[in-house]
Amino acid sequence: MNAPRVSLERVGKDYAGHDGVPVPVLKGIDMTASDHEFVAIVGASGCGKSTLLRLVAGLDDVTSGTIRVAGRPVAGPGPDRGMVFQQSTLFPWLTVWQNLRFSRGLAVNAEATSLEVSQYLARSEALLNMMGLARVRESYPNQLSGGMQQRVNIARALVANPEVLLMDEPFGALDAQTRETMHDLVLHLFAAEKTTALFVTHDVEEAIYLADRVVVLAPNPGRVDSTHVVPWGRARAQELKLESAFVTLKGEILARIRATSAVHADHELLASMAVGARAQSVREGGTNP
Amino acid sequence: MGAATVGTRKVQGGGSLQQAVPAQGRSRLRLGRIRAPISKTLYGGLAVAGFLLPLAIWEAISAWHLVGRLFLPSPADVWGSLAHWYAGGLLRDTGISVYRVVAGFVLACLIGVPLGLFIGAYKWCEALLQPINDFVRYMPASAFIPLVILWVGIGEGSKIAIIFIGVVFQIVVMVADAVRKLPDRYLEAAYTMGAREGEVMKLVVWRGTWPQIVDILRINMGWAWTYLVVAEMVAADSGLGFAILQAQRFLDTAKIFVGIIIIGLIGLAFDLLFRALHKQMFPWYRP
Repeated sequence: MNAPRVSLERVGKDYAGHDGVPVPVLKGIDMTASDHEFVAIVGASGCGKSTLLRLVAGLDDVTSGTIRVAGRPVAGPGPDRGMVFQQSTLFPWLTVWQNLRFSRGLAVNAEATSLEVSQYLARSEALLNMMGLARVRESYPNQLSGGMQQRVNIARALVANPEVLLMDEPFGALDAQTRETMHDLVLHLFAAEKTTALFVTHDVEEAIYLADRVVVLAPNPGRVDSTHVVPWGRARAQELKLESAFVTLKGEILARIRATSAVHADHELLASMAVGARAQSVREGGTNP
Repeated sequence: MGAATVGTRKVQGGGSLQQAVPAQGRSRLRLGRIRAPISKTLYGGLAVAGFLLPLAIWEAISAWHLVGRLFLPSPADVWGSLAHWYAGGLLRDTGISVYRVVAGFVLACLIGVPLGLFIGAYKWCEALLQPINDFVRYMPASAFIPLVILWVGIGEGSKIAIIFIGVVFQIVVMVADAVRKLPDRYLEAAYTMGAREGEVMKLVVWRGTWPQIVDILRINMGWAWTYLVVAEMVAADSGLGFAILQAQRFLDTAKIFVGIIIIGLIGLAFDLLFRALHKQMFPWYRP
C-alpha cells in the first residue's frame, strides 16, 4: 500500500479550562486513511470526534502531533479538504447553483486555465445530476428540505475535488427515512467518485453501512480505542443491516463504546425507578412481582 | 396529524352551516391564537381602522367641546392650519427638513456601517472601539447642541451634525451585533473552500448581514426623524421642527399638530420604502 492519504501522528488537543488549566480533549491519536478509503469515527459523546475532524479541516490547531493530508502537514483550512457539517452551511443568499460555484470565484482558483474552468463547470453539472438536484438548481436553500440541503452541501464540498471529504454527523438532523436514502446516495456517489472520506457519527449502524473501517474513540481524553474492519465491498443494500454478520459487528462496536463511555448508566437511579414502578403496580392492585 | 383529522370531522359534521360561514367561523376561532395568520383584507382594514378610531375620538372630543381649543384644536382647525401653512411655504420647510435628516443619516451610515462591520468581525476592533462607542452612545444628543454650535457654527452643518450624533453610535452597535450573530458555520464553510480573510469578509460577512443592515438603517431612519426637532432648535429659521417650536411660542396648537403629523407621515413613507426595498432585494431572506 502506498503512503496514506490522511495520517494523524500522536495528535493531541487541549482546551483552556475554566481556571486556565488546559483540559486534554484528544491525546496521542494515531490514525490513517488510505486512498479511496471511507473511515467512520464513532464514540461516546464527549470523546472529541468532532474536534478530531475540525483539526483535520484546519479549523482548530493541534496542541501536539502532526496531521498530514496527501503528505503535506495541515496548517489552517484549505480547499484540499472539503467539509460537510451537521447543520447546513449553504449560503442562504445564493441559489443552489451559485452555492456550488462559490469556490470557483475565490482567489485560490483564480489562476485556473480555461480547460480547468470548463472541467469545473462539467463537474458541477455532473454532481448536480448525480445528487438529483437538477430540479432545484435555481432555488434558494431555504426553499429546500433538510435532506436536499445536505445533498447540496455534499456536492459543494466535492466540487473542488478535495483530497479528502470530512463529514461531521452530516445526517444527524435528518429523519430516519431521509437518512436511509442519503446513505444509499452516498454509497453510490463514493463508488463513482472514489474520494477518501472521514465520517464522524454517533450512529453505529450508519458507520458500518457506509465505511470500510470503523474507528472507536474512547473519551476523557479522546483516544483510539479500537478499529473494526468492515468486510463488505461498496455494493451494499439496506438488507445488509439485517444479516447476522452485520448485527454481530454492530454489537461488538456498541460494546466497545459502552465499555469506554464516560456516562455510565446510573444503575442506582434505574434500580430506584424499578422499585417505584413496582410499588405503584402493587398500589393499583397489580399482580406483577 | 391528529389535529387535522379532528378538524376535518368537525367540518363534515357542520353540514349546511359550514358552507355558509366557513371562513368567518375559522378566523373568529383563530384571532385569539398566538401568531395565527389573518387575511390581507382584514389586515388592511384593521390598519385603516387604527387610524380612523383615534381620529373619530378626536373629532368627538372637539365636537362636544370636552377640551378647550387651545389645548386640543379640532380636526377642522388643523386642516385649516395645514392649508394656511401650505400657502406660507410648507413644502420649503419639509424639503429643508428632509434634506437635513437624509444628510445626517447618510453620513451616519457611511461611518457607522463600516465601523460596525469591523467591530463585529474583529475582536481587536471590538476591544478598541466598542467600550468607547457604548460610553458616547448614552450621552444625550441634545446635550451636544452647545458644543456643536461652538465647533460647527450655526449653519446647516450643525443641524446635520446633531442628527448624525443621534444615530451613528446606534448604527455602529446594531451592525456589530448583526455581524456577531452570523453563524460561525458560514465562515468555516468558506474557509474550508479556500476563501481568504478578505473574501470571507466581502462574500460572507457583508453579503450575509445585508438584510439585517437594511433593517437597522430603516429603524435608524425613524430615530433620525425624532432628532429633527432637537436639531432645528439650533438657530434655525426654517424646517418642520423649527416651525413647531415657533408655533409653540405663539400658542398655535393647530400648527404644532400639523408639524407633528407631517413628520409622522414622512417617517412612515420612508419606513414603507425601506420595507419594499428589503422585500425586493432579499427574496431569499427568512428571519
